[in-house]
Amino acid sequence: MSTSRRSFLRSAAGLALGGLSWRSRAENLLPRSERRVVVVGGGFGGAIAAKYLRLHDPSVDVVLIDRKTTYIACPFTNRVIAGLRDLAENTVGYDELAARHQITVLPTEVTAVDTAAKQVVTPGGAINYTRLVLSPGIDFRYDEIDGADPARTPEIMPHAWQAGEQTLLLRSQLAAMRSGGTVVMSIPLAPFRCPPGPYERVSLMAWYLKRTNPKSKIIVLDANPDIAAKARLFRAAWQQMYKGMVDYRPAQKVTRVILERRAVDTGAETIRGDVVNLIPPQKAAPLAFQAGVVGDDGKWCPVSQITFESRVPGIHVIGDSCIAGAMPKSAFSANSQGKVVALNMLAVMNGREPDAPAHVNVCYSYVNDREAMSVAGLYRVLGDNTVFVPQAGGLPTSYTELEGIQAASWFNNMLREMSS
Amino acid sequence: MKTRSRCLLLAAALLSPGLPALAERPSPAMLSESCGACHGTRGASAGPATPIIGGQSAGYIAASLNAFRDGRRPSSVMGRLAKGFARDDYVLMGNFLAAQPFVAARQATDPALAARGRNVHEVLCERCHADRGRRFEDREAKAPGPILSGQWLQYLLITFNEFIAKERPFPAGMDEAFRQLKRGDAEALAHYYASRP
Repeated sequence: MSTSRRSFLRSAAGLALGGLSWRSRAENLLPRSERRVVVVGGGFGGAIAAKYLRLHDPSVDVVLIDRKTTYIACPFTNRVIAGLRDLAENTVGYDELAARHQITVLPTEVTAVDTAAKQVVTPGGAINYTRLVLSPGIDFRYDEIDGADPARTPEIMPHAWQAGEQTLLLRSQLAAMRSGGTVVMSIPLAPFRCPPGPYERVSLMAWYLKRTNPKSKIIVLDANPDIAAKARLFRAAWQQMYKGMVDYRPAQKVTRVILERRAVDTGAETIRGDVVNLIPPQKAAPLAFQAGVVGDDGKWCPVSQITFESRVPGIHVIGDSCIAGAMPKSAFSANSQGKVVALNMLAVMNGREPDAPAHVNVCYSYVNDREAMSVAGLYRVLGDNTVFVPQAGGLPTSYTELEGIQAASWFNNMLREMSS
Repeated sequence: MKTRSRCLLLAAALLSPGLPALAERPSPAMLSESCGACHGTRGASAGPATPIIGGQSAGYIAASLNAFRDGRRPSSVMGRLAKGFARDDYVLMGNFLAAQPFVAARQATDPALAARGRNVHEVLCERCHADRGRRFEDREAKAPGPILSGQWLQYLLITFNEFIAKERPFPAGMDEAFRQLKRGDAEALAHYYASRP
């Protein structure tokens, strides 16, 4: 093909398809492989999928792409906000995972997914795939809140719902708050990442403030009709330990923010905070939108409950971005989905019947520095839905110190499993 | 109501494997790998309060799951989770995990306590927890037991406390040995087993 014809096609297709021809022309970053799974997103879902693919079938070439060289995990960051933990303890690298399982780990952006050519495009070149796993995490629906924007709002009203700078910003705002100040927290309508997370945060912020700023208070504006997870135990904890400090208001949806006044508006009332922790409603991460795997709701990715294959053939979506029936959007769910996608994607690739998924979810929430409570659940596929197994699961009778010890052990294993 | 009827439907489906809703039972790998998030990949736990289950005998794993399910053994989440599996699944998970290596924990222990624990072990425990706790010898052929050597210290301490607090009945033969323990012996035993490679 002549250069002029090629460049003509490039510009013509570029106009029509938003640069698709440029993508398919990208130089290969890795040599082509006929048996390659590319995993994008190195969190609890993606890292586990990459690892278990290799554990089950060493003939598959696995490439794990994340934009960062280290991963900062979200669970236990509420303890960082309360000054009980260093963010470094939540940070893992990929070196051991890569070496032990011979996974090619690439720290780079994915600028596009070319579904026609079956390749992901990065600034350094394209990588072809036989199948693609996306575990991209979440993004925020700031557009649903008047006066909010994705750039400036989190700098003034941190969400701290992705771990890292945001966690530290909320931590420093809380530590610097004037005596007797008010924290306002806004919780979006479910589904959102980590259902018990906001309520654990309320508990740990209250634990911290009770010691350092006893006249302060926390107003919780929850868009949900009630506490979305572990309700009985969180209510008991607030009643027992943080009475007068935690002002929980259900069915209060923040629809507008006034950044310069650090105020939020529910339609019925405008409330000013010294610290505002605005956790916006959520949706799948931008990469899911780029790849065309988001459903008609414009938020999350519908997938086969057996193989996690999305509406785009060959692209599987796991973790917070996907719709997995009754499973919560949690680190543990992502871990469980990573294992199921590995087993069942290999079944499809190797011409076997996929296995019946057996998912688990376990998570712990702290109510103070030492005491925690777990939630546990099993999930199976019934028809075309993933459902909670009614005989199993539920809450313990109370939060205890022993559960707090189990929580730390649980998190050690969660971090270790994804990074080794 | 809708949730309730769905729950009943699922219960029925799980209890009768012939129903088309669940095409097949999950494989042993499917069932067992979900344990890994808490118990480490293939049961090699990296969490000090969570036991290493890879390499334990199939019988011990199945017996433990049965005890969790029936409330004969206290736990954080296991009592709740065990109820969601079929008892047949326990055997599948037991076989899968028994085929994995037991990866001993690397951890700090108190040498003086470990030395004291060794003496106690040799007198009272070696008969069944043979090879210094590396193996279980089912002498009375009543109940299978665990590998203790190389297990996590914190888990061992929690478990000994369950026996001491009578939250958990002794397996056959163990009550006699436990009655002979002096104050501090259980802690010494835990340090001894945890110190073993």
